Amino acid sequence: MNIKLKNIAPHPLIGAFSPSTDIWGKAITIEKGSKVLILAPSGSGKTTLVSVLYGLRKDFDGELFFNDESTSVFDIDKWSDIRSNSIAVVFQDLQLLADLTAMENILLKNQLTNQFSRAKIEEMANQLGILNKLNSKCNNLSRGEKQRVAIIRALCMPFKFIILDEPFSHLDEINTQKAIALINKIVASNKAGLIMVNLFADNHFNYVSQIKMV
Amino acid sequence: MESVSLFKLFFGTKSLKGLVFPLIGLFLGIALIPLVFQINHDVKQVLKGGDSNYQYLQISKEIGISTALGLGTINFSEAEIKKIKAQSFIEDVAQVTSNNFRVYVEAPYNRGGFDGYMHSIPNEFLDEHPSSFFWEIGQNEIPVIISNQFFTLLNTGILPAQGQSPIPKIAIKQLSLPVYLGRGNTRLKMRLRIVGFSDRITTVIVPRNFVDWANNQFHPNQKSKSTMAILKVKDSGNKALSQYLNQNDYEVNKEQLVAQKGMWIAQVILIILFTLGLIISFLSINSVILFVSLVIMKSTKIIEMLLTLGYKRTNISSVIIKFFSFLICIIALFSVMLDWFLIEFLHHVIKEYSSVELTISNGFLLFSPIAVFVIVAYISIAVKKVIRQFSL
Repeated sequence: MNIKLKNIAPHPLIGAFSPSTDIWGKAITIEKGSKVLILAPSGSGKTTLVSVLYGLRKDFDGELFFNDESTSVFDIDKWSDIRSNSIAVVFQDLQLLADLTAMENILLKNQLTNQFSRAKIEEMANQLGILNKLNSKCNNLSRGEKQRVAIIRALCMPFKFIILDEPFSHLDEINTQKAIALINKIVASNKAGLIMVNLFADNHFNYVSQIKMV
Repeated sequence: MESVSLFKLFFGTKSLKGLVFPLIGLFLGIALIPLVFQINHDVKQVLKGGDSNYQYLQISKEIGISTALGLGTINFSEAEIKKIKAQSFIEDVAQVTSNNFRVYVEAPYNRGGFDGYMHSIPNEFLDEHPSSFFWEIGQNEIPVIISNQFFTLLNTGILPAQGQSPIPKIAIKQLSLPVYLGRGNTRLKMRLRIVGFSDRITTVIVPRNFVDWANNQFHPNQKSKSTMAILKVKDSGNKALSQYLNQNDYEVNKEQLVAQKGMWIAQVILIILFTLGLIISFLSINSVILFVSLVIMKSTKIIEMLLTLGYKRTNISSVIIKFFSFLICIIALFSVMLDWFLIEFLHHVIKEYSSVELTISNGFLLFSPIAVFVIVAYISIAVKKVIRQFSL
């Protein structure tokens, strides 16, 4: 699957985005299986871009294509299929249910496609150092632990692209490296692409390109 | 693979107390309406003497001075019966054939005897038609159907006046009474056995072929007399019918007309109860829907999260619909159980006074499944409508 943005201009940002942006109002294509970094300072519309790519926002001009198919014709069920089978996301605000345990949050995603067994999920949690937190309610977890739960949850589906919105902002270097290793492994097994959206330049993944939002 | 129950997500932490009164209302509504159908059916069956859409009126000729002086006749002629049958408000007529020979019944335990009479009508006019109500030449025992009215009179008036205990129906059916037909040398001794009790006919009925045979035995050249006729009508309250009967000096069994009025009053009461049941059900269903909408509104964050994860709106609505469908089915089941209990009790009470074989009405049988289907469909539509508002 490739992703093509053609003159996308979110309504709240029209007239406000910089002419030097590589994204807003421009035509760019993110090729199948490629890893790209989107550099986006605060307030430049980073989360808006993630929401546009994930179908959560439709208030924009221009067109978004998946495999040359315009998303403007997608209905809500088509977007549900994409969210459960094609595009995985780690949201900046994580979007976890506070009253559920870490495991329940992960299972809620995993049970849509039964991607992994419980043992495999536990193995991933162990790899990220949160095995002993799986039965804790999310509102009792630290921000860093929640980020790792959100990463595992995003990986628990078959996907063609994974979008990461500041996924390591609350992780130390060791845990960041562990998370990168896990993500790389699953991305490779899915032969998927990766879109990293970050405030600063990084070399966490082997990016083929770096796209500036401003 | 274990999974997270969406049901638990929606209802696990929410109080269901708000559902108690709407569900009680729904229970009462669903119980009341089929009960009304069944009571209406029972009233009709009892008053019409069976599971029939018709009413039966017993008519005879008014005894006036002319008949007393022998100038007129109280018998119905063939021509009169044809004329009655030709009336548009009368579906059918049956001539009641009388005996033209003496009937003397010997009472049990040597308590003397009494003169009696015998009538016969076509079997299709009988409300009570047991298989033992059958006679053939050479058979010594004559099967008899008496009216329930007479049976009640026997137990509440005749027997107590003689210091005797009442006799139950089952015991009276065991008696085989000697009966003498005719007089003098040609007198025949046979036996009588009561085989049934009728709500429709207020006389003593024996098989028609027996009366024809016996009349022919004793008076071969005399035609059988008919002092009564049974009218089969769709509406005994029809004005044209009562006018016709008055004009021709036909007397109707008044009790049957009073019963018709009673049925009319009962139906008015039942219509009021039916309307009440509908209103209670409607209000309760809407309260349930209001509760469902509230649950969905309180679960906005969860629903948005599920849609974000890739759940479809149908996945979410089906969880809520399944839960409420289950609740409605349980409520309907309990209301049917209550109705069965009440109807069994009602039928048991009615059987004490009537021999009519009471059946279960189609309205009663069909209402609960139809009601469950309609309510579930109504709630499903409402839930889907609310969930459709989420369009992430």
